[in-house]
Amino acid sequence: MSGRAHPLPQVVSAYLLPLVLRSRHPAFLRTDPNGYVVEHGGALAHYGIHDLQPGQPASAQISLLTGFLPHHGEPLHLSAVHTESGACADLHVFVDGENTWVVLLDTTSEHDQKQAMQQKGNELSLRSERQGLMLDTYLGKSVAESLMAGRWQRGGERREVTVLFVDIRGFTPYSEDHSPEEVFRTLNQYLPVMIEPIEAHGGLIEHIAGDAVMGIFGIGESDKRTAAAKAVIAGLHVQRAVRALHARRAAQGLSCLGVGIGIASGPAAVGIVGTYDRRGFAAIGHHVNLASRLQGQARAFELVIDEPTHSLWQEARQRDAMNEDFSDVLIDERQVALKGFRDVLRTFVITVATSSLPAAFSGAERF
Amino acid sequence: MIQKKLCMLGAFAVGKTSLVRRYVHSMFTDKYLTTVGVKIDKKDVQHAGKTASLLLWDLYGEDEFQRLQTSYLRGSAGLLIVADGTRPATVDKAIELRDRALSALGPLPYLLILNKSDLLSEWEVRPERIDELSRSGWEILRASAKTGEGVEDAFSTITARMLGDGR
Ligand SMILES: Nc1nc2c(ncn2[C@@H]2O[C@H](COP(=O)(O)OP(=O)(O)OP(=O)(O)O)[C@@H](O)[C@H]2O)c(=O)[nH]1
Ligand SMILES: [Mg+2]
Repeated sequence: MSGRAHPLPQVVSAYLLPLVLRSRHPAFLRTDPNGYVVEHGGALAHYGIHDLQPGQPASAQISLLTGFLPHHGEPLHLSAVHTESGACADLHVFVDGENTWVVLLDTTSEHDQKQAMQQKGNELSLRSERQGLMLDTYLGKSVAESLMAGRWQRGGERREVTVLFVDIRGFTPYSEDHSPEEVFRTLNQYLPVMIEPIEAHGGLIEHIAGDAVMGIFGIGESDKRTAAAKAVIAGLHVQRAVRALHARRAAQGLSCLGVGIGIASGPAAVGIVGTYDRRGFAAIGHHVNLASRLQGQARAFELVIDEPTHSLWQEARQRDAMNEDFSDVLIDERQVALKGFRDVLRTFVITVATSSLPAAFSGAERF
Repeated sequence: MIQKKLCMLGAFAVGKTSLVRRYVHSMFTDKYLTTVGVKIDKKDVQHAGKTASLLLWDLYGEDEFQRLQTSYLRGSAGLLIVADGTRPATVDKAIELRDRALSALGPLPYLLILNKSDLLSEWEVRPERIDELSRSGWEILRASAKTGEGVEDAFSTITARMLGDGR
């Protein structure tokens, strides 16, 4: 039952206040209505502010106040002002009768956390902007222009594509056991390693959701064999990059999380959705779901691929002499039963070895 | 000494921080580190025989999660609005930010910097678009924080406007 919230009892707020304030390095400045310093105190030095002269204009002595004093009207609050000492502060300016108060509170740790999140968000937005420009070339200017006019693109196209899903194993429990900063740092190390090989092999990132990435091959490619082969090779490169990342993380005493990959090929409806500045493309179809389900079957360092992908890839290998190195790779068949699929599915599991190939792999096809 | 506040405005990752770094510290880095909140830099400038202290407010770039709060702009004497020649949407953002800034602050000198001129072959902002903006009254300068091209020029042009002469 939720009743009306009681105000915080005086004794509780009196207990909390000094506790909260101590970590915040509060500093203050009192000026007259013209912005001349009357009194100052608190941790001004923490923000690199020294030797304030009473009776002088505050903004001539503290340059970040230029333009803010004298202050009239509503209280002013600026967050994350980088001060001369390097500390980040929230700046408050408010009027109380004849006095104008300027208050600084340290918000460095909030800033750092927000910075890490914003950084990731901006990098992803830049990536999707770049993809938007790439799509203009793939799908023709007419599509781009109708989007420019702000119209929604409803029509799609049927394409033979290869869909790749990659996701970090055990990320949810990991994120529950670690601080948000640590989780973001880890994600920022893994995501590039998962995304870059996909893009480098001509795949488009359809979406990124938390610790999972979906890529599509075959949008700008007329040949479905090449698309399937590029998807598989991209998947191998993702696993190798994760292996290299683990070596670095292990050296720093950080825990290592593997990634699993699922790949499926077949027809899908692809099209652009959204408006000009927030558009992306979407692929919809049975094989998209299948790739996601196969990804769920993949253990760390595994690619689970469906039969059509395997055949297309093999055909491409026979047709084009691809000089890809497979010496660290094993391939095996695995029957999987997926919920919602009537029959047991024949899949191929490609495993990228993390060290020298263990004996347990004997019997598997080796390249 | 006279102090003048100049705000850097623009979409995220257009190069606001890089332009200030180039102008104040003659440095550039390819690594992107987004700005949260505001960083203030100072530079003394000479103009028409006078020295003024320029306070450069390098603000966070706007995106859908953090809208620019116009209270940061209070007391500005000018605006340097930055767009990225390789990203057409950043020009739309520049126009929007100018409109919001001017309606909060009243008339104020401003310039548009089209940054990343070193990547001219990858520019997606077309010459027709630039002409159209000039015709509608924008003063536009091309610059590159990476090579330094046009940077000094952009800052001294806006300084001249802020110190009250020029046009
Ligand atoms: N090639 C090239 N890259 C540039 C130039 N200016 C900036 N960059 C790069 O563009 C990216 C963004 O630059 P920033 O200066 O951080 O951009 P910003 O506008 O301050 O970004 P926010 O703080 O996120 O709003 C960085 O990777 C820079 O290295 C330029 O003139 N040429
Ligand atoms: Mg910046």
